Amino acid sequence: MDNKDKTSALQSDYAFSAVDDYNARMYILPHLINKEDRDEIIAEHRLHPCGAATQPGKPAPNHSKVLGRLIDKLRVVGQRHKHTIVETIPWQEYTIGYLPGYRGGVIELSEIKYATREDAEHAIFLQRLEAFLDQYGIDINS
Amino acid sequence: MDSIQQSMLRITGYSDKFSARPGEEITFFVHSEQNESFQADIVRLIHGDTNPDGPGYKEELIHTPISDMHPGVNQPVYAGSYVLVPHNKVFDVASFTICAYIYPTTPTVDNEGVAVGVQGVLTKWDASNETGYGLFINESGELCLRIGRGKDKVEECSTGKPLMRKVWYKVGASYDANTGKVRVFQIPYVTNTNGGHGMSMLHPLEDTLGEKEFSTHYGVPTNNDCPLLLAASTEKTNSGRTIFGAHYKDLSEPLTIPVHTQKYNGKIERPKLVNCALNKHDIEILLSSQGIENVPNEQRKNVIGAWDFVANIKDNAASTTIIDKSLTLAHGQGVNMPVRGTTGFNWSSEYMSFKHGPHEYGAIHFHDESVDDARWAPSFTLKVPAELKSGVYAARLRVNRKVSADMEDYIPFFVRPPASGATAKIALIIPTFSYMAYANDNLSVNSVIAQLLTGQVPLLQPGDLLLNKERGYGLGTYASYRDGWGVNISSRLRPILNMRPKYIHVLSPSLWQLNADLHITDWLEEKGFDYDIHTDEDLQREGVELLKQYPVVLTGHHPEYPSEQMMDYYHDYQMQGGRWLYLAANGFYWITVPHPDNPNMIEVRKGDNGTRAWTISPGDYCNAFDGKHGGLWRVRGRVMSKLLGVTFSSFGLTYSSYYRRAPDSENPQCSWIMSGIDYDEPIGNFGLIGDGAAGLELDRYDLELGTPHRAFLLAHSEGHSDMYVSVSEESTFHARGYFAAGTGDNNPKTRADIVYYKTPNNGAVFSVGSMTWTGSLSHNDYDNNVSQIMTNVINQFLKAGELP
Repeated sequence: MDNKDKTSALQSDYAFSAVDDYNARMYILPHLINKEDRDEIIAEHRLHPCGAATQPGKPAPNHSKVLGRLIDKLRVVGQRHKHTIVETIPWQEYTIGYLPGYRGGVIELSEIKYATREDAEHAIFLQRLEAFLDQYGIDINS
Repeated sequence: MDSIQQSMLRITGYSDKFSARPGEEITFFVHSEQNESFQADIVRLIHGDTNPDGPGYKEELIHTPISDMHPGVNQPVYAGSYVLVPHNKVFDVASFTICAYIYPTTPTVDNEGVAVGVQGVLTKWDASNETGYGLFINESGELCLRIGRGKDKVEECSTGKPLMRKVWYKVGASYDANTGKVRVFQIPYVTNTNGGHGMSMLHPLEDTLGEKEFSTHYGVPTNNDCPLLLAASTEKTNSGRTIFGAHYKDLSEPLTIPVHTQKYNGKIERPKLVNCALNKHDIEILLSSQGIENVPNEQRKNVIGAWDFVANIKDNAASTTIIDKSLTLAHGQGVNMPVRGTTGFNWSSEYMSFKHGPHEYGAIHFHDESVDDARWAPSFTLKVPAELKSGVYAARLRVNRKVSADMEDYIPFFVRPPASGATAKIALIIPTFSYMAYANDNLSVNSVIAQLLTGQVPLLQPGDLLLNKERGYGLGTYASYRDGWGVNISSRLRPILNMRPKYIHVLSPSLWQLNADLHITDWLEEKGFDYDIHTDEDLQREGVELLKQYPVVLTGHHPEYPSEQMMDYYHDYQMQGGRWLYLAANGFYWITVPHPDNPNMIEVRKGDNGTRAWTISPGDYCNAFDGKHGGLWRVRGRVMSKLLGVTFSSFGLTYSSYYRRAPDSENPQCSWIMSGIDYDEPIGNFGLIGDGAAGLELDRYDLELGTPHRAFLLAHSEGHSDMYVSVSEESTFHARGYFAAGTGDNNPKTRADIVYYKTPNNGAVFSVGSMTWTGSLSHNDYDNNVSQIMTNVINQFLKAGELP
């Protein structure tokens, strides 16, 4: 039996997945079920997809607790087919790449181009959010 | 979907050295992905940041004889460490026995779940013609013997049981040409400690214990002229490349290396080859000693290879020579720096260093992605013009003279002043050891937490795409090999694709390392300060006398990886009146050791403490290159604040913040530093790295950690976001609300401090404690308070005599 064989709950790291799912259902999904709440989170992300510098005398522009928890969840998924941003024309044009998940593989590039890195970041956020909601049977558009 | 190749970098290369003086030569080695010709030129690099919000990219063309079109050739890198034992007729055996201890780390798949395929343990095997013999791990992860008699005439005898990851095994196989009897075995050997973090309860043993006998009547293996390899087999006997000199100093002439294949990940210990079929008892005796010490006299002549990995471990385990203790004396060479002095099958934890208990450190760990030298054919050589002023330069390569990100690459190098002496009063020491440590980190692809560390999705450029395709370009100390072991050795004799002008680094909103250090050269040029350039390697070789030529010495923005000698030299410089500007954060952090025979390679071991990409395995804390404890300088009594006045406290690889002045800045001994700046004026609320002068990694003063007692606090940053977290060595307990483990919005230690103190003989140290300080220098056409402070400090430091 090889260590990588997933022949038991323990070998397949079942507990991690179970607790991760619990955390998602308890602390993230309740904020995403209602479309109005969801749109508010999406709008907040659109404003500062990657954060921003702190201005003197102002609080640091942290993401709200809900958005912070959501984007951390979306960013920590495994590397296979994970989104990345590829610069196609320096400072002018970007696209989304999909990682192979291992060194030596091919990064696939989307045909859609974005004018800024922030636009690409937000587009990735929406794609990830849609896929995440889909796991729980929620349509991002409804 | 488009294919990656459309925007992947099509040309790259490296040089034989980082720095040279006028009149010296530098040779460049270029790879052209599609065998296209390229235009080469030498340029002086001034500002590498292409951000349209800044002054823009600046380079200056230097006319040299190498400016021309050059033929381009696709040059592969043959990555993966192995031991090469040259072909010897004595290895043309009929009957034979192979045995060893092994510790496989990717028996079937790697850490990413990718199948590794067949792996050679000890082979005299021609993989192209399928001749010879060898002990392998097959695709199913089973130990097997292969006997080859030509294409499609290969017999494989396996144990039928899969090997487990991180378990030591006694393995072997024998073949008796007279009887046709084959025996193959893998016997787990598990103690309470020898698996490191692996298990010590292997039950039931039968899951992985395999012993089998076979009969074959097809005859003896077909002889070949392949070398005998440990941890690989031979695809092609002559790669056209050789090893000689430097870390191969024991060789008396160049030794041809093969194109190797079927590369093994894991440890091997006590490999032996015998020219007869031994029984169990005799194998037991053979494996009971490193060499042939325990072999009865009548059998000594039969042992034709007994490689003793402990034999030449002394004060260090850096030698590439592998000693054969058999009568054959078929000594080998470790190619691509297999890791020596690592814990063996008998490691008991009684010793924590190979220097104290070498007999328990008899293993070598092999990795199929290691690279010590790309060994490409040279493309052109530059003789540095006599009149060329010291600075940062590059060979600029353009495929068919085309100018685009995928058709253009730069190979940076550093021109020093002539040997006759300094040509300026200011020296900038380029942190080349740190460039090597971060070499080809490829964290966008390698690190599942990269997006959490940086708070954004990484940006890939054409060089990143090439790097991802070419897993053979070698890694840096921020990556792990595919078996999960951290990369502890980095070489500069291969393309380092993240050490380029115009490069945007994954660990920063924009720049990091070389390209960020060009912010400093640009500012010095704009302000009219003459400066000389030297590298870490130059300082390592020439000592404090190099620094003493200059009243003022500057660091780069992230000199994180110094050697022990460099730590001493900077301290001596301070003691002898040197004036030093530490324009960085998280500097002087990791213990770094250049190879004793080849300064183009460094070693770093990341121990149990520190903000680190990986953690060293149990018992492997000591560097092979010098035998001393590796990890943080802090654990060897050299915390950075003793040298800089500040210590690494927190980091957030995202947007930056600004500084506020502190009362000490009005002290008459310090007020000159803030000349022209209002007390209430925020300092550096602008810049090209995260839009602020205080960011990325942050250092603070700490009197308990060696900040000099008469140091002054000139300013501190504030307002770092909750992306900024404490470094792990700052907190012994993580508790909600306990600020030592907090974030930017609740931990008052999350800040950068500007600290100033005087040293003996009119010396001084000025530390900024931030990695983004230098990115703010050019703001508003270089007229800003960060630039003003720098000007004030350097102008005063250049004046001889007492400081205010």
